[in-house]
Amino acid sequence: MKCMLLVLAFCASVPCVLKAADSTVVAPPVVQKTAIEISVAGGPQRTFFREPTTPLTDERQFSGMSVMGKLMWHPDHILSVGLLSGYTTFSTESFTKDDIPVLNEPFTLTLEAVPLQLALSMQSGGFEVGVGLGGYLLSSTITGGDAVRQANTIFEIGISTQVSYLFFIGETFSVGPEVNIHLLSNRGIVAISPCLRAKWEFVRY
Amino acid sequence: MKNITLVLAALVLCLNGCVSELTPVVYPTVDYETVISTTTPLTLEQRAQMNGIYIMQEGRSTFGDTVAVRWDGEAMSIYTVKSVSFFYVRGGMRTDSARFVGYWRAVQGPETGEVSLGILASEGGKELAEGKGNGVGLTLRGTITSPGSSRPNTLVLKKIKALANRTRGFEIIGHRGGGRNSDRLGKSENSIELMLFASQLGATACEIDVYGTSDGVPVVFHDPTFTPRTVQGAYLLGDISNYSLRQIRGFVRLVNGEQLPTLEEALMEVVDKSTIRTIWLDNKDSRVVDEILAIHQRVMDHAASKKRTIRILFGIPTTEIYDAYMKSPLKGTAPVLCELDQASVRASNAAVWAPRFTDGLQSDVVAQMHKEGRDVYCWTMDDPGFILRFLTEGDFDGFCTNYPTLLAALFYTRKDLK
Repeated sequence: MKCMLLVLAFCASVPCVLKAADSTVVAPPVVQKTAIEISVAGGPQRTFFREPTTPLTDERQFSGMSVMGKLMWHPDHILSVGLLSGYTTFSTESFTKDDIPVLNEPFTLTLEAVPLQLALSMQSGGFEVGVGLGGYLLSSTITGGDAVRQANTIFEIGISTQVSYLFFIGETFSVGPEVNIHLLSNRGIVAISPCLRAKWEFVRY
Repeated sequence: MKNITLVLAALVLCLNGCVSELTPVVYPTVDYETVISTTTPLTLEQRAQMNGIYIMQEGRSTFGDTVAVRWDGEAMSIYTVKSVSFFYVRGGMRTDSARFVGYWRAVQGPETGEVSLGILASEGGKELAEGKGNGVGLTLRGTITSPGSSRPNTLVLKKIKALANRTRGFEIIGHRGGGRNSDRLGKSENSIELMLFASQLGATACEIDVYGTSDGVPVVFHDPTFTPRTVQGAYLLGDISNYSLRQIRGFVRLVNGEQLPTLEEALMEVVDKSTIRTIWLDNKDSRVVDEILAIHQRVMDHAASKKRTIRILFGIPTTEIYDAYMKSPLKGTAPVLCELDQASVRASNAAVWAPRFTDGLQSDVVAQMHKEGRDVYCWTMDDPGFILRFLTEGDFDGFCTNYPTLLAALFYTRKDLK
């Protein structure tokens, strides 16, 4: 995994270095264009756990959904910087009282997350590659039994990556497919979400 | 330049965000049954005859010059300082020779392998069969397999003297029930399974950690929160005190798959199934002090009914626990181990004072504690240099350690103990 991240970071850094080197050699006519962009991506999600989520089953894969939003500052460079957040459901499981003899009551368990990350992304043509660094507010909800409904939240370190191709519709609005990957390595959670992304440059100066 | 800096910062954050898992240790599969079914178990006298300090005639490049051999129950252990290894072997007598099989493990690394040992009639087997002598000169001869070695290596050990001991006695206290999850012992820290195995690792005592569940049940667990370091299961997040025992039983297991034990279950199992002499309860939740003391009474009654001698020490590591203990209606019903200052030790009438090793030898205070009839245990001793210094220059009655194997090897093979 570290190798993959190294390669990703290296690939991301090459255009920066090249652009920086180019700008010292040639002084092209500069048309200053800095934008503030907002984008939203949503879609289904498949989550993979390193270990079974409960001792009751051997289940390690779940389907859920993911909605991510990014607010980015995009100066006249290939790199843009901003904040990423959203909401994602990693897993939901329901058990009858026969499934859990020790509890003898039906239970529903849910694991959700809200990413809170610094977002970096690189654009070239319609392609965009991004990485989110920081973590997730990880929240579990147990419904049923003693607590009726009990929620607990922790902060867990993690990263996300996004790869998308956007088609411009008008001057400031673009839309296209995106693949979103969430990685919480300490928890052994990987989630992949193919989704639809819409981006709007709502400020330009 | 700004972009490059950002990318580099991103890289650092990425790498820090990834967690490398330790390589699992794959223990060899040993056929104990074949050997056990074709040998006669050693008597207690024969086991005592075998216990001792042995010199390594062959195999010293891996295990050093001197090792300690000690029987515990049905298994024989060998403890080495070099490589910090323990051997777990089982077997018995065949007329006037002996045969043992098992495995060895270097506890500070992943190395492990099979062990096959025997005693020839001409090398002490005859005397052992007849129960004559003190075992000096007895020779264990055999082979071990090692990772990276295509064929077994020869091992020859010869007994030179009895195990070193200490007049006042000495406790080798296994931290977290005998070891940590990072040591990959195949048994989770603070599990019943590890407590029952601790004596094979060299421990004569166990330190275990006690928290309370949301419904007030004392359970054995090291951390205040559930994390992937300690448990399997995705749904129980945050403090252990958020969850009832039923929820914990339903939704998590310890990292090696064991049930998270209640304090009472753990103590009853140790009383019934182990040779551990002392349990140190490292109490971390002041809400359940009364319940812990009540459990202590029930377990000691059970031990008395089984004629089992065991000392269960109620640990006072913090002022919160101290205050809760001093207010408890059950105060004075259990022997206390106090980690606080001398005034608190005396006020709580602690049987044991337990200072941290970083406070030094404190010889005058230790002598005073001994005069007052208290034992002194030092924690947490993992470095061989410090262990040797504290063993030879200090006068402690026990050390708590993450490596009971190392402490056992150093303690039993030392010459100049007080």
